[in-house]
Amino acid sequence: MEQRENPEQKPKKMLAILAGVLAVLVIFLGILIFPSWGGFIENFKMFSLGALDVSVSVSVGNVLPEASSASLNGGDAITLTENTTTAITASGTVTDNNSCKDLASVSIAVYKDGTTCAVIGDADNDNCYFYTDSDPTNDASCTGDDDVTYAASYAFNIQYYADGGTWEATIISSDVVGAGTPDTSAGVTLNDLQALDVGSIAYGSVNPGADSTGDHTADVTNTGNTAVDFKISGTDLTCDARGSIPVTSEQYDLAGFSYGAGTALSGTPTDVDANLPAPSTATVPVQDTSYWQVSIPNGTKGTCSGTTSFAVEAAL
Amino acid sequence: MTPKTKVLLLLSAILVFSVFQNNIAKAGFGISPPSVVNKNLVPGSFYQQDIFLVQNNPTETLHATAKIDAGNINSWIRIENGNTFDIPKGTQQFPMKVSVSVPSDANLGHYDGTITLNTIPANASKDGVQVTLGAEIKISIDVTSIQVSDFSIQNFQIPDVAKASPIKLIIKIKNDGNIDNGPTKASLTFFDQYHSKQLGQQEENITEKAKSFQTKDISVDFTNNFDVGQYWADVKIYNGEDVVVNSKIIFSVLAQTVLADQQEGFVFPNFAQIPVWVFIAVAVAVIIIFVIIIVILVLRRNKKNGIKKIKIHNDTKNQD
Repeated sequence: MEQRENPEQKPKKMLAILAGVLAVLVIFLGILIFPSWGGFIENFKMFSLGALDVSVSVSVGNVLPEASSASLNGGDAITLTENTTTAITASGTVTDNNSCKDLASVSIAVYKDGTTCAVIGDADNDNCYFYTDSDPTNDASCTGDDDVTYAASYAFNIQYYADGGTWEATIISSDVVGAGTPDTSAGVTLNDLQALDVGSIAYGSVNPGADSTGDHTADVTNTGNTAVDFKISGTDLTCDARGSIPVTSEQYDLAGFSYGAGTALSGTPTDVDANLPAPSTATVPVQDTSYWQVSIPNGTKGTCSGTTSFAVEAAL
Repeated sequence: MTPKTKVLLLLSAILVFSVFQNNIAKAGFGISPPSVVNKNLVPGSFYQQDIFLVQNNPTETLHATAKIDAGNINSWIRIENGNTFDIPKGTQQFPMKVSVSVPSDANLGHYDGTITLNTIPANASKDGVQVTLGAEIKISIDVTSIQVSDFSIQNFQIPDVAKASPIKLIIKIKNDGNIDNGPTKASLTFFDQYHSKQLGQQEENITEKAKSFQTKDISVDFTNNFDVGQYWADVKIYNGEDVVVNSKIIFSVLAQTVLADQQEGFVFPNFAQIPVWVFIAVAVAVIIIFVIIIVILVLRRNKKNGIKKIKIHNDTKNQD
């Protein structure tokens, strides 16, 4: 008698076969994408076959990390911006053949050539900037156990008063065992910056035929990284209702004075020997006060306007 | 601390703040570097230098006027931006290009001069004294007959490269001498990503030079026989027989598509970096959808078979 397959069991059987094929496919894809799964399966196979009678052990030693390709500002000269910071990037590569996950810390030092800048305690806005990544294993550039490189990069905000000269960047790294081999960039020039900030000059209201009284001041601040002086010049003040005030009717000095005792302003830039030294901190501005007086001639009326120019120059 | 003391302290703080406020400078301007200096010019030389005009707070466009005062070498000096130009609002570092063209019959010797620069806001106030800022730029040049050979390598890099495309060693040369100059040769010794297995060595002569006083990137091509992966190159750059750079650098060889995607700003996902649970979740979802489709198909088939059976049954009845 011929045994017939129950037609109701056929779809169930088909389903079971398909699920089986799919499961094998998933495992196969998994091994392709995650090779570590293969290792797990191999171990399982060995265990099931009772093949664990040979033990192999290898002790993998520690390799200290090594820095390379240190670069500062891409090898270009550094130009600062007056009275503020300028972002300058230092970069390099750190390799640890045990894995980037083995790194304990990576530091980048940016400093003026000849300055000691080896630890955070050496940091000084004039000549040494220091950054440490104390958790390099979680950096985006360290992607896993089999990744041996760490991309070191940091943008330092360099102060306007940082010393001019040759600057370098050094990449310093360490793992749990000890310090690695550092690498230092080629030197780049940090340019001198001569700069001034100047306040406004206001004489207030003065009658025709009279001189201004009291102190009318404008602070002049060194906002660069070198000692500076400045030259002063001006134009006549033209009044909107009537007449004008000759430029020579304005006088200035670096100390308080009464009109007549100051230096007459002129159209020709004139040296003012203020000798403002280079600042060494942003919190204590290096500045001098310029004092101003004016004599108003008769025949003038209204609001009088003109310019007074301050030109920065190297300290005399 | 009594409430009265607190109020007094607060008032004192406000007073001190006001005093400092009065001392805050209103406008700033600077130059960097502050001079045009060259000690190695020869008759016929051309030298160009950027002087950056810098402002912390460039809230207004500035009209700049430059005046060259260099005596009998006035005609040698030129400001490429023109003697009047605008520094656009929002520009903290504006390059003013100063060029020096030494005539071929120039007398040897030392020359000095100045460039006086004045600026005034485009919308200058017509109300009272307008303080304007400027700078005096020193010019100090020497014309000599001595040939000076002086270049340095400021930087080098090997950008990631597509498989089978040439490996490019890009060298930034700064030539401070008065003759065209640059390195003569570069060699790369390739290693695997662990820098443990040497994979080959190549050497290329360099013919391209940087002109006198020029900073320039030059590119040297090397044959790329590598598969996709990460590699080390020990880099040696020569000036004649002297090694001027001896360092190493890591680079990647990428599949054409990956590099193209990177260049277009899109990175194709690396499946190996996707967490396992994501993969399992996707696989489970696919299986569930697959099973649902199969179940639907089987049910439909059964329904069809049922109708067929009834039809067959009816047909049999009719025959009877």
